[in-house]
Amino acid sequence: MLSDLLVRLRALFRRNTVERELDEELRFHLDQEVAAYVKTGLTQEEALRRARMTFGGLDQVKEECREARGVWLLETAVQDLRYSLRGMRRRPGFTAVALFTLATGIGGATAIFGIADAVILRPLPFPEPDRLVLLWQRDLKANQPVVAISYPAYKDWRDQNRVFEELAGMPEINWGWTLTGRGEPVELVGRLVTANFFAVMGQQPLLGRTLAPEDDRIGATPVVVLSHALWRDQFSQDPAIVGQTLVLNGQSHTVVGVMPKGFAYPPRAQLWMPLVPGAGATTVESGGLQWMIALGRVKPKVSLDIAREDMNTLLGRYLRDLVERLPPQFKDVLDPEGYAVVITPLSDALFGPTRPALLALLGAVVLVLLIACANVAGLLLVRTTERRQEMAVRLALGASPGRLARGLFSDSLLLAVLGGSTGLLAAKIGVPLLVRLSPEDVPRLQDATVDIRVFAFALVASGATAVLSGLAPMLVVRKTSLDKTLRQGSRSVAPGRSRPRSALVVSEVAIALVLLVGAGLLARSFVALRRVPLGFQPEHVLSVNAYALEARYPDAHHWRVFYQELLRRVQALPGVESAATVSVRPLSGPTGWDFPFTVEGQSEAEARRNPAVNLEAVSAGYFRTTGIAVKRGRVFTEADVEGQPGVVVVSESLARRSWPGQDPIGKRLKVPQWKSPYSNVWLSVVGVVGDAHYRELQASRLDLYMSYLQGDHRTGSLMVRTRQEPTALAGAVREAVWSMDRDKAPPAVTTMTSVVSEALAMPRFATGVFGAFALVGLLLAALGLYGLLAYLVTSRTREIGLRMAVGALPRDLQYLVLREGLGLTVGGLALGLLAALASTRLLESLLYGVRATDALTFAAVAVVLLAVAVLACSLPLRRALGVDPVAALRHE
Amino acid sequence: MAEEQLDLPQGTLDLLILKTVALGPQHGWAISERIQQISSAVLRVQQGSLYPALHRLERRGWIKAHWGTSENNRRAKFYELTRAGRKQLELEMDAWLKLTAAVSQVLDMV
Repeated sequence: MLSDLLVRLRALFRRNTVERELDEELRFHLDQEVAAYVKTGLTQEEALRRARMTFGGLDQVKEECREARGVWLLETAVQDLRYSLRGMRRRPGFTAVALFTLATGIGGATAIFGIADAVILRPLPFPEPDRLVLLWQRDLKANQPVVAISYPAYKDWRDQNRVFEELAGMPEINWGWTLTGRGEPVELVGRLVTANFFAVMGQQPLLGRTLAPEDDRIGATPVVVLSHALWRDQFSQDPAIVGQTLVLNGQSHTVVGVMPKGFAYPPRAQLWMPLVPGAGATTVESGGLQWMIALGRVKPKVSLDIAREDMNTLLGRYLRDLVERLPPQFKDVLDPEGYAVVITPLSDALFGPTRPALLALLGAVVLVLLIACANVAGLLLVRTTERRQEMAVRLALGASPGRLARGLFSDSLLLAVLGGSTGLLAAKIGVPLLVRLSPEDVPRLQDATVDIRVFAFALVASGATAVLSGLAPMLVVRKTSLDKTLRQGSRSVAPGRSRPRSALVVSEVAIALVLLVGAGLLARSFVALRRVPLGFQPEHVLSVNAYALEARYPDAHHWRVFYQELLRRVQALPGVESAATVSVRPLSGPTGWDFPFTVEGQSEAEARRNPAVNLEAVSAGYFRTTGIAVKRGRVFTEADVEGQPGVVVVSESLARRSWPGQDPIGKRLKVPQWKSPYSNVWLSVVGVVGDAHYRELQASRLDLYMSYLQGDHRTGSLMVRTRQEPTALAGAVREAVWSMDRDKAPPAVTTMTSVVSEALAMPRFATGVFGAFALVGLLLAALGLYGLLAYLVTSRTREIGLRMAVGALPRDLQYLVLREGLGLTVGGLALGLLAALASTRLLESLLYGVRATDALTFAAVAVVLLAVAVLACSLPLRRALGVDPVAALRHE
Repeated sequence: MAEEQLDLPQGTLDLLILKTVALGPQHGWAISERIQQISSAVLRVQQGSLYPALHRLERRGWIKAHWGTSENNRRAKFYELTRAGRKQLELEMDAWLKLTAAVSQVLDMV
């Protein structure tokens, strides 16, 4: 209603006029009333008294009029805020502590939210991302999470399934492509995809077209689709790029399209090429090679369970059919009932690895924020207690309890707003800092900024803080008894122990304990990870991706020539102790080549229960170069070439599993391989080496080594052991590799120590940040405890003085303070231990080598907290001991 | 003063004010006097509660205020009924009459 608004606005902006008018109106009434009484013959004084009595409390009426005009909320809010601001300025120490606490709490929470929001909370930027899933299969007998599928299996799934709108296929990993013919050769990363990939993702191109159905047929003209980033960085956004030809790995490809800016899947892919069966780097029609994953868009209203069921039926039928058609040597290693389809939502596959860590950090900052709230609530509580008298006076003068509560709320609101703004500023600095500190391979992390969503979070966090920290003081005010407080006078403000404040401190200690236990567990598991025996010696070792172009080195023979020459050139470099090649270097990530195997003497059924082995083809000097310990027998020599009897070196775990309690030397096993005379023939074990971590730090697998000179092995990594600081040789090694083929980009050279460090990056990040927040939580909790005890001592100065005057010993005073402080701490510890026991399970997926209920961590953290609590008690205690009885008794 | 005074039932003060003001612009004191007089001093209106009610009605747009001169030549705030207020008065009177009629009917019958 208009009049409503006008009245409110007038009252708000013409406050003085409105007040004056109200005053005048009421005065007029009273004067009239007095005049009326005087007329009836009363004296002036008596008339005035009567008039006042019939009228009621003038200030109360005024207040009610203000409320009736409807501005009171805003107007009194302005008044309250002004009052709060004045109060804050009068007590800079209190204000500083409260603001610091809130800024830390809100800032930390906001910064972590910014990271978590960008990485895991935001939906994927594809249409209906919930329906996108990745499909693997799981080898039911092997203790492995997922394995890739073969191309024929994919084709079968694509054509036979009834649950997907569209099912695309692609290799598990991005492949490298060298772009030549446009200045310096450039190393690019791309993904082979089936032509329906873009339809599954629901993506339209920015320029040109995406892949067409005829693009992935055998004999199709090679085409490529570019990502926006590649188009921008490499081709300066040339609008005429579509139709041009790019030479990639020595082969011409026609650019048919450019994708829009937001489309970046698979992560880091700069280009997409059609996956053509039977062409390119790998012959994909092989039934045995499992190297693909499928990407599907589930039909609407089809649940994942139904999809899984349908696909499993399909897989069983496919495998039984396959076993029928397989050549005899494959038959005994494939169990048609031994596999199940694994369907993972795309978002889980993308963010699964980082989600637990980020959620844990988010949990940690929320706990810190809670401690901050409790702390500020405690501080405000003290102020409220000190202001009891003032409150009582205001109540007596007609202020409603609601009005007083609003005044208190404005204190906490003001603090929260100021603390929140400071916190937002801190987050603005903190987010880029966290991005810099975090591991590089976290998808979408680079997008993390303080945007409107993060801002909204800070706003909500501040609001929640205001409510939480303002709640306790309000409860106290509600209980303020007017007449008791007024009668108490100023002499005995000491409230003794304050129950709500004690409760706050207890919960602060409890939350801090939960945080510290979490940090302790993460730290212990980080240490455990660092102590994992790598199985190799990373110091003084360089690793280079070095492979030859398929076009120029088409078969195994050419490949060996390439590598022998490369090894000769690198070994000739001054400072190089040895050099060797290996299929995939250690700690290369969770994907790799898995092979089934059969130990001589095993029945078909037994062989099926064997887990897959990680097969590495290596050159003669490999074990010396990487420092993998030789435990028994010999390693490969230059004489282990094609034509000679097939030999293998096994890891200790593989030896133990295959020939428990026996000497493995001379024992035999066989492995189906691709295009190799050594496929499925008995290979003799000539040596045993230590276990090494080829994929991840958290687990080692069974490793089987073959000489790269026996069979069709395309090794991809060059390892170099140097005599001095390895980085000094990086340039020379890069040059040597590049000199083999100038049509390739100079390769990246890394030290193995940095590879190890990279493998620890996520645990390090999570542990570091969690630990930092736990320390902040500890500090805040200690501050809360200190504040309570300091207040206790101050407010009991008289009592302490009295006690000393009648002969109390320092020991008694010590008892007085410590009983209070440590009593609360122990209460908090007990509560916190229970909470930690219940909650650390959430960290389980982040832990390695330590249980979530690790007693040592719990005990150590409790001791640390207790020590900090004693420290927090000691300052107030010293002050209590220093009390001069005479001065204390005169105190106020 | 009468022997027995009744407290005003909840919500009826607004109705009385609107009715009183309907006769013409009046200031607060006059309104309170008038209610007192007409009700033969049976109804007890706490004078203090009159003003919040006036301000509330003004905010709702049922009465409007202007400053004028009182009979004894002092500046006073006069309230008068607005068109919306007249409608509201009719509504409330109607409701009130119906209510009281219904209540007395029940009282007579039982």
